[in-house]
Amino acid sequence: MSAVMAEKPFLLEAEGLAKAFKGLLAVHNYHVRVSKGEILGIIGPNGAGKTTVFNLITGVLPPTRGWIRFQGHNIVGRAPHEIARMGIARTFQNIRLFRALSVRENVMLGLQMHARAGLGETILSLPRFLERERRLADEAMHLLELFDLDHLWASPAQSLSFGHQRRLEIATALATRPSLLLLDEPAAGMNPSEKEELMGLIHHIHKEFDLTIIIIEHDMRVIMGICQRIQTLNYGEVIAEGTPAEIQANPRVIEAYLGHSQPMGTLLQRA
Amino acid sequence: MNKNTLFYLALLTGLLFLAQSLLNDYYQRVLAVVFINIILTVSLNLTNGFVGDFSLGHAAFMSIGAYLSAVLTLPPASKAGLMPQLPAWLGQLEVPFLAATILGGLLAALVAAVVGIPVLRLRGHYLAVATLGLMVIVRVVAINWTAVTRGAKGINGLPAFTNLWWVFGWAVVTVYVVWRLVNSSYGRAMIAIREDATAAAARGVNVTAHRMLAFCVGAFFAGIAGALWGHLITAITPHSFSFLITFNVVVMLVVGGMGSISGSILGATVMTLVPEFLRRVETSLSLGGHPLYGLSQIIIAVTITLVMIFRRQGLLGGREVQLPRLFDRQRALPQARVDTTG
Repeated sequence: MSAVMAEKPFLLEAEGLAKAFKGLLAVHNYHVRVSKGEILGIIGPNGAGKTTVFNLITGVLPPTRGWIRFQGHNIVGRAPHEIARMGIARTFQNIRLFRALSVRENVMLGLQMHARAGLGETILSLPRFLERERRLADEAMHLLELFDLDHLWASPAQSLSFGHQRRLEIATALATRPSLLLLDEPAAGMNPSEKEELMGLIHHIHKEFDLTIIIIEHDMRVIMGICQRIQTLNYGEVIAEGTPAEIQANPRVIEAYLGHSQPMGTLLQRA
Repeated sequence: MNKNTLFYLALLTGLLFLAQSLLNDYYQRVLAVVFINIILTVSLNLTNGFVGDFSLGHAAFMSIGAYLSAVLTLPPASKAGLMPQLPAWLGQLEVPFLAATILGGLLAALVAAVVGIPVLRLRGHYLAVATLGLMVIVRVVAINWTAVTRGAKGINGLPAFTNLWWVFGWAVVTVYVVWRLVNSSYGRAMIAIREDATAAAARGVNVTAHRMLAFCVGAFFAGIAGALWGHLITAITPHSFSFLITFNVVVMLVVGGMGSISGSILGATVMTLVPEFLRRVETSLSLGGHPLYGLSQIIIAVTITLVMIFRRQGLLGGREVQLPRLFDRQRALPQARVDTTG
């Protein structure tokens, strides 16, 4: 089993990744290897560089050093929209929807890179354009049904409740048909039952869409419940990596979180 | 194009026939200016209202369209007199009005692309500064390239080709093209860029390409409007297309409501007609024997200030006004958008 795993190329690989903001090293010598189908968790105290790692992978920020390979291709230096088209989708820590667009249009925007009419067809409103728009709308509705948001399709995204906005953002990310999904604190601001629901949803889309997922999360119950492997970041560096059980027992992790050694069980109870 | 659209087009055409036969020259000219301002405002809305860039380049693009079309439509005989230094092939050339107008628009779009390539890759309001600079450059070229532009003297005696039908036709084309663009994947991408460019890129939207498209389409129609204006007034100078024109168009856009095509049409109409009629009022009114010159400008300035204080999002607030549907037809794709530009 492990021999087979080793031969399989990694979906995402990064090595020696660093990002400096005017002398402040937000990320330092970061490395990651994610196999297809895996769910990797990234934890760490605030300011540990977790979101910066996502920004480096998605091309929002250029790394100061290091390389990133996705499906065997170097993606450092590529524009964010090119990386999105290659199959990396993300959500944001603070929900970022297109507030003036309707719920369905938000999803159609993610879908449209796969079925887009040309400029001439669009302006002349040729049948091919109309058919593509209809197909985009249909596909968007299917996706919205899966997220139980289809009844809200015509509402502007800004009118949705917080929980619905979180779900919609994941739906718009999936609309780009990614193979790698990056979730940035999806459970932030949710109550326990919403968190349960979210975990179910992540499990479901992981299987249904054949996804590989990297998730940043502070909620230990969520992280321990869905991740197969966990990385812990502190001061922009990976200080521990392993299975949930290994991470829970790692004294460096506990120290990074609490400042002194204390059993991980307390963390779990707090969450 | 459905039955409703055709009906309203036919209605407008009929009204235009009436206007042509009933109105005197003055009113017909005012109406033509209304349509030219609709072209300018609707096209500027694409950049400033939908993509959320702030362009101040409309006067420059008008100037480009006006000068090129003027050089192309002038009969060779007048060109020989006005611009003796013109290259021989250009001196011999006489291009039909429609083709000259389109070429004027295309040159404006090309210049927009040249300005846009370095600027539109940057985030922020660099476009406003760059387009202001472009306006200065265009004016300096117009003043100094005397062989073609006759410098500060300007070109006069342009054939008066522009009539109500030309300006109406181009206004319809402008509104149609912008409306089609906005209600398509292009428009979704443009609005998404306005709302959050980083998030739009994360969903696969090529931000630079869409900003560029909006800017160039806007410049094309500004060039068209310039050509129409030149052949309406029949004389152009480097100072015809000043910052005041850009400012007026921005005001029309803001008063009507950014991000709404019907708002642009309304803004352009109101902000053309009101000052024009106030100008007549100020000459007829007098206070203690002095005519009240400048009253119209004061009233307009006060109006804009009031709009900014009480209705920042403009008269229509980014919404579209739908004319009543007279012929029932299944609605294709209902839109649900609200404005967040205000």
